[in-house]
Amino acid sequence: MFSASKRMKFFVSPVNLGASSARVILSFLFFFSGCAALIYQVIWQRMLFTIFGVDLESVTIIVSVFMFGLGVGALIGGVLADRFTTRLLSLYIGIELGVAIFGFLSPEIITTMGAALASSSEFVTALACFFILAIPTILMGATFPILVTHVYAVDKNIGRSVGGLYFFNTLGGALGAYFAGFVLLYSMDLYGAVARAADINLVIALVALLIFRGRK
Amino acid sequence: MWAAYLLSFAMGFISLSQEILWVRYFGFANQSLPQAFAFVLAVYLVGIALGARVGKWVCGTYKNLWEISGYVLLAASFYDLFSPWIYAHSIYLSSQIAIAGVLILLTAAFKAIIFPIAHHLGAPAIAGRVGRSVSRVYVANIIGATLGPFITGMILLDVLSTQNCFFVFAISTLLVALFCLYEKLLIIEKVFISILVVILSGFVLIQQPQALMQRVAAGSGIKYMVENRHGIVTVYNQQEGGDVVFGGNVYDGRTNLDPIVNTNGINRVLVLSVLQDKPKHVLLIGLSIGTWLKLLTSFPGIEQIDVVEINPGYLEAMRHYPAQYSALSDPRVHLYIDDGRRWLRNHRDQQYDLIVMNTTWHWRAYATSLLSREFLVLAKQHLNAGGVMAYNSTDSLSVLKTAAAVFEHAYPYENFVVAADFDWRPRLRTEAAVNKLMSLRLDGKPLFPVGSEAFARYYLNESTILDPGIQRLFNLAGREGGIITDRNLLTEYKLGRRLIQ
Repeated sequence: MFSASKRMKFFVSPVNLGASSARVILSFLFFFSGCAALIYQVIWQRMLFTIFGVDLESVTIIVSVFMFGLGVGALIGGVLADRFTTRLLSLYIGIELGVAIFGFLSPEIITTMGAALASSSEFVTALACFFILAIPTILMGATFPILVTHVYAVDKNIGRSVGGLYFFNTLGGALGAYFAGFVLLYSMDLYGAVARAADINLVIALVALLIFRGRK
Repeated sequence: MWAAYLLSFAMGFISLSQEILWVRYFGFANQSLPQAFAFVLAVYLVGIALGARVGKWVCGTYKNLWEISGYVLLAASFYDLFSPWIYAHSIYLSSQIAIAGVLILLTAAFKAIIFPIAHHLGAPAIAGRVGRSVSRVYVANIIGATLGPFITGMILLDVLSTQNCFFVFAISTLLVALFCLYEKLLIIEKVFISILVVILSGFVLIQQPQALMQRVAAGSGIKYMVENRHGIVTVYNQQEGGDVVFGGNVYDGRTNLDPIVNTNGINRVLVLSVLQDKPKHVLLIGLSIGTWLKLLTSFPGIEQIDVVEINPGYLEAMRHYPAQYSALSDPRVHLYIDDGRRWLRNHRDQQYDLIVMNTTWHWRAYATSLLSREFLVLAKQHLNAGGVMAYNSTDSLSVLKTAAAVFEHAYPYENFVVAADFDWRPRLRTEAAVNKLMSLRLDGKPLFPVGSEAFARYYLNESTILDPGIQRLFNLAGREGGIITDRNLLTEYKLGRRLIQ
C-alpha cells in the first residue's frame, strides 16, 4: 500500500510516458469523447423533440443547430490551437470538464427551457435551442483541431494526424450511438443516460489531468 | 486550397444526405422502430471511422491524392447506385439487418476515406497555422454535413422519391470523382463517362419511382403509395372489407365505413356517440385515410371537429376515397397540418367534449409524444367538464395504466382506452344507447340498417366486450406495465419491440 506522501506524489506528478504511449492514451480518450458526444446527441435530440414536436422540420432544426455548433467550435478551436500551442492538452482537459458540467445540468436546463417556451413561436424556440446547444457543441467542436495540432507536432503529417484521431473519435461515436439506442434507454430514463455521458467526460478530464499534467 | 475545401464540403453534404436516406429506407423496411435511427447512426459512424483509417493510410502512402480520391469516389458512385437495391432483394432474409449494416457501413466508409485526404490537401503545414488550416477544412465538411440533411430532408424528399434521391447522390458522387480526376482523364474517357451517366439516368427515369420502397413494403397488392418528406403512406387493395392503409409501413386503418362489415373495428368510434348527451366540439388527432373523421360527422349535435394531422400525404391518399374525402368539405371540419402535441400546446383556449386519437403502435418511434402522462395532462386541460378522451392502446397495458394515472376513470373498450373523470360504462348499458346508435346517419342514410339492432346491442354489450378486453390486454402485454413518461419512453424501449432480438 502507498504511504500518504507517496499517494500524494502519485496524484500530483506527471506520468512519465513516451510520445507513442501518450498518443495511444490520447486516442483512447478521444474515443470516449466521441462516445459521450453521440450519447448526448441522441438523448438531447430526444428531449428537444418533446419541446419542438416530432415533425421533420423540428428534426432538421435540431440536427442543423447541433452541426452548426460543432462548426463554430471547430473554428474557435483552430484559433485557440494556434494561439496556445503550449497548452493544448490543458485546453482539451478544460473543454472536457466544461462539457461534463453542462451535461450534468442539461436535463434541468432543457426542461426549464421547454416550460418557459411552452407557447412561443417556432422561431423563438429554435433560437433558444441554438443558444442552449451552442455551449456544449462549440466545446465539442473545438477539441478536434486542438488535438490534431497537438498530434501534428509529433507526426508532421496532417492527413495521418487527422485520419488517426478521426478514426478513434468516430468509432467512439458509433459506440455511443449504439449504447444510447440499444443499452442505456432499456435500463434508465433520458436523465440517467445523459448523466452517464457526463460521467464519461468527467473521467476523461480526470484521467488526462493525471497522465498529461505538465505536458504541452 | 479551395478545391480541397470544396471536396471536404461535398463529402459532408453527400455523406450526411445518404445517412438521412438510409435512416428513412431502413426505418421504413423495419416498421419505424425507434432503434432503427440508432442502428443506422452507429453503423454509419463505424463506416466513417474505418474510412478515415484507410484515408490516413492513403495519406502516408500515395503522392497523387487527387487521383486516388477520384478512383475511390468512382467506385463509391457505382456502389451507391446498387447498394439500396441489394438491400431490397435481401429484405426477406433472416440476415437482412446484418446485410443492411454492411451496406450502410460501406456507403459511409467510401466517403470517409476522402476526409483526411481533403485535410491533407487543404491544410498546408505552415508553422503556427496548423490549427486554423485544419479547422477550415473541417468546417467546410461540417457546413456540407449541415446543409445536406437540410436540403435533402426539407426539399429533395418532397419532390423526389427515396429511390430517386439515392440515385441523385450516386450521380453526385460520380461528378465529384470526375472533378478529382479532371486533369488525369483523357477526352475519350470523359466522353465515355458522360455517356454512362446519361444511360444510367435514363435507366432510372424509366423505373417506377417507388419501386424500391414497394419492394421492402410490408404487404403485396399496393394500390397507391404516397411519398413526401413527412413519411410514406401505402394503400393496399382488398377485395372485401375496404382497402388497407399503412403509414410508415405499419397498419394504420381501413376504408370500410359499414358497421356490419366492420373489418376495422369502427364500433370503437361509434360507441363514443353514446357516452355524452351531445358532444359539440371534437378534436381528432391523426386523420389517416379519414374513415374515423367521416364517422364522427355522423354524430348528432356536432358543431365543430378540429383535425390535426402531421403528414399531408394522407390527404393525397384520401382523394381516391370520395366518401372519406367529402368529410373535409364539411363546414364543421377544420384541418390543421401540425404535430398534435404542439398544436394542443399552442391552442390553449380550445376546449373539447371529445378528444379522439387514432394513435399508432405504442412501440413506434416517438409514440411517447402522444401516450405519455405529460401529454395526457395537457390533453385533459383541453377537455370540458364531462369530456371524454379515447385512443388506441394497441394492446399495451402501460398505455392503459398511464391513462388511469391521469383520469379518474380509464377503462378499455376492446383495445381502446376510454378515459374521463366519470364512470362512462353504465351509459353503454341503457336502451337509449342502442337507440342512439341506431339513429346515426351518414350522408343521410342510416349507418345501422333496419333489422341490425343485434349488432348495435353487441357493440354495447359489456359482458362480451369490456371484460374480455381487460383480460386480453393483460394477456397480450405479457410483461409488467408501467406509467409512460416523456423521460422513460417506456413503450418504445424497455417494453417495446426490438430491432435485434
